[in-house]
Amino acid sequence: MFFKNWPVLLVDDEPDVLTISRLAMKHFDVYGLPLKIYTAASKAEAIDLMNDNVEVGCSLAVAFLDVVMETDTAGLELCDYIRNDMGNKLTQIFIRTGQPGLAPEREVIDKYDINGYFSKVEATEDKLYSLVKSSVRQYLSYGMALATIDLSNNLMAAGASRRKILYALSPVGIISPEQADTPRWLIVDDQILFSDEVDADEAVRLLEQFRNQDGIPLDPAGDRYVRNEDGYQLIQVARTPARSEAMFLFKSPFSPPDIVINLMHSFVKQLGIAWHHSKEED
Amino acid sequence: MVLRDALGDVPESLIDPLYMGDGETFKEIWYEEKNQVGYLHFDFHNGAMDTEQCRRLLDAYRLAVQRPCKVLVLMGGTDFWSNGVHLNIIEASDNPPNESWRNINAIDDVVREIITTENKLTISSVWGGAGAGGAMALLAADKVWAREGAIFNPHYKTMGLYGSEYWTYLLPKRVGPVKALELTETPLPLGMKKAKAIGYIDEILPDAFAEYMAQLRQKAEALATSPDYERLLDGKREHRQRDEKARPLSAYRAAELQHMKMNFAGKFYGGEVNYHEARYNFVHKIRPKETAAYLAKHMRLDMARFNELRQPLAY
Repeated sequence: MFFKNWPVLLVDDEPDVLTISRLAMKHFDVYGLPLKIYTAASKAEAIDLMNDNVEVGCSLAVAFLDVVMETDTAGLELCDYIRNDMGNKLTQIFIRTGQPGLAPEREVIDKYDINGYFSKVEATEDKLYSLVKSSVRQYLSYGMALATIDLSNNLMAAGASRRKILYALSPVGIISPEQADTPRWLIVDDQILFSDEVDADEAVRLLEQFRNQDGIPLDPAGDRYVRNEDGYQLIQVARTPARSEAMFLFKSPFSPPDIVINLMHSFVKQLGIAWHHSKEED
Repeated sequence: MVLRDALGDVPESLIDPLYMGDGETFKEIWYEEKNQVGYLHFDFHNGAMDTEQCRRLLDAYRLAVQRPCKVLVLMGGTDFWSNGVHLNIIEASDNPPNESWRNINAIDDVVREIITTENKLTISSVWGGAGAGGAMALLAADKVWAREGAIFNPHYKTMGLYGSEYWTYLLPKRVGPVKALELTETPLPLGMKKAKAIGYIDEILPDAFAEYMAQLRQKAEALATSPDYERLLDGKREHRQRDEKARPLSAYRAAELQHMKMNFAGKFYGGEVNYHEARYNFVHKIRPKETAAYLAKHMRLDMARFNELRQPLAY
């Protein structure tokens, strides 16, 4: 939810292919955010880039890999490195080959964990456009799902300890100076977590604004999603006998699709339940 | 860093990656060899290893394993064997999350190289202390010997990190999963008597430097000339192959890095602020606002129990 662009990696030993692809993708956007394109001319260069650049190493949305580079199977080995050595199951990987005879489609898709295969002849601008759009959507949904599971596990592991719940929530609720343009707040039972007075005032002002604004109902208990024109968004989980009122208020550079809203709603609901069953320690 | 601007125009005269000379020059990495035993020294200031130092150490290590010796001793430095990644360099960089990622990968490469060394026996010999990633990295060697008064801090939690350096493979293998969890979840210093009792180290060496060195050399040479040497080397290879089959090293690294990604660059729900804040406080010598809860609780509830945790346990 806090991406400012979508990192995309192009790996090909033909400089022209890299240049043309970069040009073709220059004005693509997904959810209103631009792509940030990285290129590498070989498997080795791509691995160095992934180990050297935290964005490529940790937040790569899509990768287009040529097959035949320093060896006949370099691109496939690179795919294997990303999936197994780096443990990255999230990046959407496409094999784009100029010599399909050396890496037949069925063999490659059977053996490697890739998201698609096409020949360079097929790589029109429209084809790239549809692949980038659909794969970034997939990347975001899948990534949010995994992150939601992680948070849920951490909340569950915190048990009834408020201190442990706060620790589990700290990656979501505390913001560093670099994240100042995408502020976020967690509010439980009228308590704004992790905030100083200035931050809390801002949250109160926004909540007041959202109070009278129509939102999208998320379930019959009164949970809702609201967004304003400045990009501030609220996931609100209503109080019931079994859970506390919980809210996730944040600013994101884009409007999330329904599936992402549902995932965030699920996280905030779990927070409301965990908080309700927890207590302050001595 | 302090002299970076002043020394900008001073030409650098590089020494060999595996320096074996005895000339008086600034050197962080050097190597000696005697009686079939190689000694690789890496004396980095405060035991902190930045990306570039890790890469130089990796080059030196690769050259050292090609030397015609049977045992390779990893000596570390005089004050510390290693304290893991270089938080000051990371903090001073233009992009600390990026530099963190580079540094972690570079130190992981060194550790992997040590774990996968097949042609000789390796020993980590610890004169100074070791902390965080450094205290895990030393477990990559086949044997770990340490000076009696050395102190390890084998945990990352105070820095808000999950940890890397293949610790999820190395630590439980040495001390078992229960102790591994205890050591990493309750960040306390570890003395050598307890370290030996729980299997963290194999041998305790004397506190006086001359005796420490004499005993180290004698034990290392004994290993190199042992009639069991080939059997030990074969056993090590088989053990590694068995471990690799059960779960590849790459899978341990991948899983650790998945956790670290959250530390450096979580963009789905947000990034990990604890690490960045803890690193800033560490580098700028900012005292924690309060005593950590696990320490405070011990102090408040049972001072005797707290002291006991700091003492070697009787085994």
